[in-house]
Amino acid sequence: MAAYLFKRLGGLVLVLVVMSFIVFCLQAIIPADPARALAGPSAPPETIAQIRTELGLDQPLLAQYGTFVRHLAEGNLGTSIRTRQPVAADVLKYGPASLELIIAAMLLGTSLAFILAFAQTTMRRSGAVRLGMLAAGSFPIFLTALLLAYFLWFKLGWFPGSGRLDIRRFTGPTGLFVLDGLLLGRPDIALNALWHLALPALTLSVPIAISVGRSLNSALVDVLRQPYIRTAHGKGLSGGRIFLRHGLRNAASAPLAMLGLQVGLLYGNLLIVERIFSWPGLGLYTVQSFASSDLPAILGVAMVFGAFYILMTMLVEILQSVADPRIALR
Amino acid sequence: MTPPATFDQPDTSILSIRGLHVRLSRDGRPSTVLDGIDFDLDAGEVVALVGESGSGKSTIGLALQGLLPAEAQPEISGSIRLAGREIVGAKPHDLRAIRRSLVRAVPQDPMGALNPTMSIGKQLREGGLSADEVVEWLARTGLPAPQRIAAEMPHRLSGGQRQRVLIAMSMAARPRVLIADEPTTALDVTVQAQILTLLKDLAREHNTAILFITHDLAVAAELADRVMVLYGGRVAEVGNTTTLIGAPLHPYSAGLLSARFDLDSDRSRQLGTLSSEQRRARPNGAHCNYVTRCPLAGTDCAERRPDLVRQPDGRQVACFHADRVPDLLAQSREAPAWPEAAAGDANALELYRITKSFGSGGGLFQRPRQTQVLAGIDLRIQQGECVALVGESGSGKSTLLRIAAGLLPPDEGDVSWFGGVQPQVVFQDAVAALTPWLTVDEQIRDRLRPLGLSRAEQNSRIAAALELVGVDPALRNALPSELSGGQCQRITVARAVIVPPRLLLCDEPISAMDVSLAAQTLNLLGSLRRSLGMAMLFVTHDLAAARLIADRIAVLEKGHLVEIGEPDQVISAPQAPYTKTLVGAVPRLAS
Amino acid sequence: MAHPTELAPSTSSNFDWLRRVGWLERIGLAGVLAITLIALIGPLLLPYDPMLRVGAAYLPPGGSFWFGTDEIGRDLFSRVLLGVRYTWLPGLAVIGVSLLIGTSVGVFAGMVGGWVDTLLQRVVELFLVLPSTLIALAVVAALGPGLLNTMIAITIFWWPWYARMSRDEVRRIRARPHVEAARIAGVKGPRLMLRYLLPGAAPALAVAATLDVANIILTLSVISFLGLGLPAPAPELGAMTSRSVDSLTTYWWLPIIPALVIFLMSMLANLAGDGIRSALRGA
Repeated sequence: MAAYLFKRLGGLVLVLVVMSFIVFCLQAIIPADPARALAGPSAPPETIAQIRTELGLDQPLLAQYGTFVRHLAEGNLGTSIRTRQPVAADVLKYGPASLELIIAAMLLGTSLAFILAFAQTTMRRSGAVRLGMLAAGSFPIFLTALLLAYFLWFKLGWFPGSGRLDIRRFTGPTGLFVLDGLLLGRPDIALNALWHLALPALTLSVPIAISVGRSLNSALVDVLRQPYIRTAHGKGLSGGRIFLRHGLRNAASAPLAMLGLQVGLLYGNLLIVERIFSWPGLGLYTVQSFASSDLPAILGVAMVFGAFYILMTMLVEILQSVADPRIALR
Repeated sequence: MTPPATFDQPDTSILSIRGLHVRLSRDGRPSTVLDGIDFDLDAGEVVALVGESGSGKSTIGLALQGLLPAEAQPEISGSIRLAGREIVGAKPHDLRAIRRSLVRAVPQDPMGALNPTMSIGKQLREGGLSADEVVEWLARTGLPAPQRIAAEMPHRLSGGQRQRVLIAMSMAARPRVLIADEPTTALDVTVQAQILTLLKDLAREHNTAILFITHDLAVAAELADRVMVLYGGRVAEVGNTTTLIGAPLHPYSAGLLSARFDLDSDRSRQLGTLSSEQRRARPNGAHCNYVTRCPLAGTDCAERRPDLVRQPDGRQVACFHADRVPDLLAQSREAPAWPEAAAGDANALELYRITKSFGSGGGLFQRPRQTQVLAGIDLRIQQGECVALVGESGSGKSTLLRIAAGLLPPDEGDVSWFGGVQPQVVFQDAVAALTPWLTVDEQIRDRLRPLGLSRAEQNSRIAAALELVGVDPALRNALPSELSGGQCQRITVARAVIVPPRLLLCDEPISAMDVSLAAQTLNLLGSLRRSLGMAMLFVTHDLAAARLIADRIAVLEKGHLVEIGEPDQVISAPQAPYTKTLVGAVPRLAS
Repeated sequence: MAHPTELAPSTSSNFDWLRRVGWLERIGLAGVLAITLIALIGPLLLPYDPMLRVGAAYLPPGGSFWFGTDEIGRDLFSRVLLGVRYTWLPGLAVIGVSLLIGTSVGVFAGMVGGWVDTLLQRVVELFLVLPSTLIALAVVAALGPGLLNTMIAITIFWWPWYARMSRDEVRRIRARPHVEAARIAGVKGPRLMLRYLLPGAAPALAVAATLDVANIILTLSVISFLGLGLPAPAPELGAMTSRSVDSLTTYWWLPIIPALVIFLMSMLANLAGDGIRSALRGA
């Protein structure tokens, strides 16, 4: 286990280095001059030259990459052109909102995946379920968001359509408002945060639910056809017990892998969902950075997400080996 | 539920089947799998259910447990009474109770039949055993260190060990009826005999009746009190094991018996084959199901369905012409002799100190683990000679064949062929050895391409080759999916011999075949190698087949050649201990 | 010896595959063909100039403007019709190029084996480990917005999937007895490749590629929605939705209709992929 963790963390560093290299190359080859962007269009040449020196842009490229990596290792992701703050500070500021949204979406998505898979596995005529899942899987994420917002917020008023809380200026120890509300003994805040989470988390959970549910269903169909299921029936066990103890655990591996893969696809969706529901997280921060071509901010956030994705992949692998003793962590 | 009017269950029987019909759907097309089965099983009796694949023998086993696959939308009628309880139409709750205590099954493939993510002990305890009972039962099936086995996960056990676990799991419930569906086919020969003995002993001890499903008459003969022969979902013949095997009265049983071979078969001539290969079965109806293959079939067989008729000696036969079957059987014993063989002095194949290891696991920074598969093999095959290479799974026999074929390079050692020409190969799974999207003609023609023949010459060579192996040349434009397994096997042979090679390598060509097909294939290969003057390396796990086809037998154990010699010498006076075990494990009819 | 008389094989018609395809999947296949046609000849079908003001602003759907008009009075139907072209054709192009690069690399690696195979596998794995949309977005952001850059960015992260798939398929089929049998029969080189290996790998690739059309459409629309596609006046479906998100409660058709058209395209592509899968299953 320790050897595995050590090895995977080594892999994490390797992937981050590759990502940093890609990111650095992108910054280096693009025609836009960050110094000019930072200084503003009307700045005199001296100011630009001064900024260039400050940023180390007058150094040779290899030296620049060395500096870049050293900064990365120190947790320095560069400085945002738009907010004029260190990107790392911005990540700490906006990160918790996104983390809360992602956790909610993954929990919701996994639960929905179970429901969908069970419906498809157990219903005799599952054609309708299958078609429904195919349709839901074909929705562009912004259409899901717009339809949910139009009906559940605008028409019915059941859920709020923007923001994280009704009250302003709330801060808590973790930045995850639902958790903070509970920690501070303010269930009203926790509930209010949960209520605001509903629509964006639901939107974000749909693609997760569909792909994980589909994968879980096909794994279950396959597993329930295995000879050991017949052995279990031959022992006279009840259907429910066979499903839970013999079916589900053997079917876990593929949907878990799919869950890990979905984290990688989450990023683009997060940007759109946070933009549509005005959720003040890293996604909205990135969208705003796109508008002002704030490359250090965009790439810094990308690095953070890349690391998050790899950590999730590791977690998935550990869960897979827990579910199936034949999978050794290597 | 009230029993049907005709229901007369003898007092001694634990199981009574009356008028059992089962229809199952495959790809939405329903077909009758069991067509009116009547059968009784006495307490503690062992009955063998013999038939080829598709005869419905496994379906009887499943129906007895109420476990017909739901996706096949089973339609079942008739009656199955087990210890006085009706299974057809029983509620799921009652069926579960019956499965818990009255009927248990030992499956065909022990590798897949245990849940891979649950420990052995836990899977046994699920059946209601205490931890102590688990260990006790594992010990009773002859497993060493039962304590340790109980804690293991299934993938750490061998096939034989898993089958013992499954037998423990079934017998621990002390069922009245045990269904054993080909419980040894997936196991090595040496393990097979042990498993059969174990089953028999445990059943006798607990007075459990066994329904033993098999395709092998010899296995049935060793184990069973009675034999029931099943064909096309109907009972062809039921009777005492010794009477039935001594003098079968149904042409199908006679065909099974004449085609089967063991260590006592006559190897100076071809095997008797009574029935042609199975063709697409006619839908069940008012005719004898066997009519399409039967050498005795008359017009009455196509118009009426023969009922099971009780004979004076107590057995029951469903055939209008049962009186002619003994003559038929006698005829089949006069099978044609082998054609004259031509032999030479030169070596067709010479293997010199062949070694091979395979690596497994390993990664960027880790050396893969090496397992030696072949340890310095020396083997020479003369022109026109046939050597059978016999060994169990994992002995390295297939690896040696692939090295001899030039498909795999050896780690060390030399392979030389006569004239340096690559030999041809007949593969185990003939259907897989044909490319699904190319016609028979295209695949065979690819062998003629280097010869620079004209198109017309190629055509006539292909037609002649198909004729030679007994396939209608009209089938040349068919795709493999349109052909039966036996036809595919003949076509792979045609491809191999259309340009007769000096050496033909056969990789378990009959291991997946029913007896009659296996006998026909052995006849074909044995005749062709003699008439075409080919040397042959015949890889098999079946000592009886090796003895029939080969001039010499080589025994391979864990990568070492432990014995080589004339077949009758190897079998009557085996030298190596391993060969003795192999010979002892082959089931014989005349025991 | 016994000479079996066999039944002649049943002759199967060339439309056998269609019978295995359900009616929904047939609609998908037909729809995909229709969309491709619209994408190709779309400009000829436009009722109005999609770039010019042709009526009052914010007209709801109906009347002579089937999908209504936008904030400056342009015909939404004409714009959406042209938008189909800007999404569908790039989607097909990305699939085509990825398939070409991926299969070439994969089949080469699978045939050659050895260290070439190992190296290519490592490279492909690295690509697959990286979060693709994330880096694709970063690449577009860095290269600058635009359709071509978007297509390049997606292709960079799409071909490795096909490379791995075709490599695995070739390895799998190469080890099958029928290919070994062909090799022993003396078939080699390009003939082995084209007649015995590729036809075996093609069905899996065809199914994956068709199902991926839907994924590509959605990915393209995400990038377009984020304003990284074609610049402003061009009628790109994702961007049209994005620009009118704030009109959702007042002029719902502006953001919803282009998004629905994206949904329709990806749904039909998914159905067609399922259809091709069931058509090829029996083959």
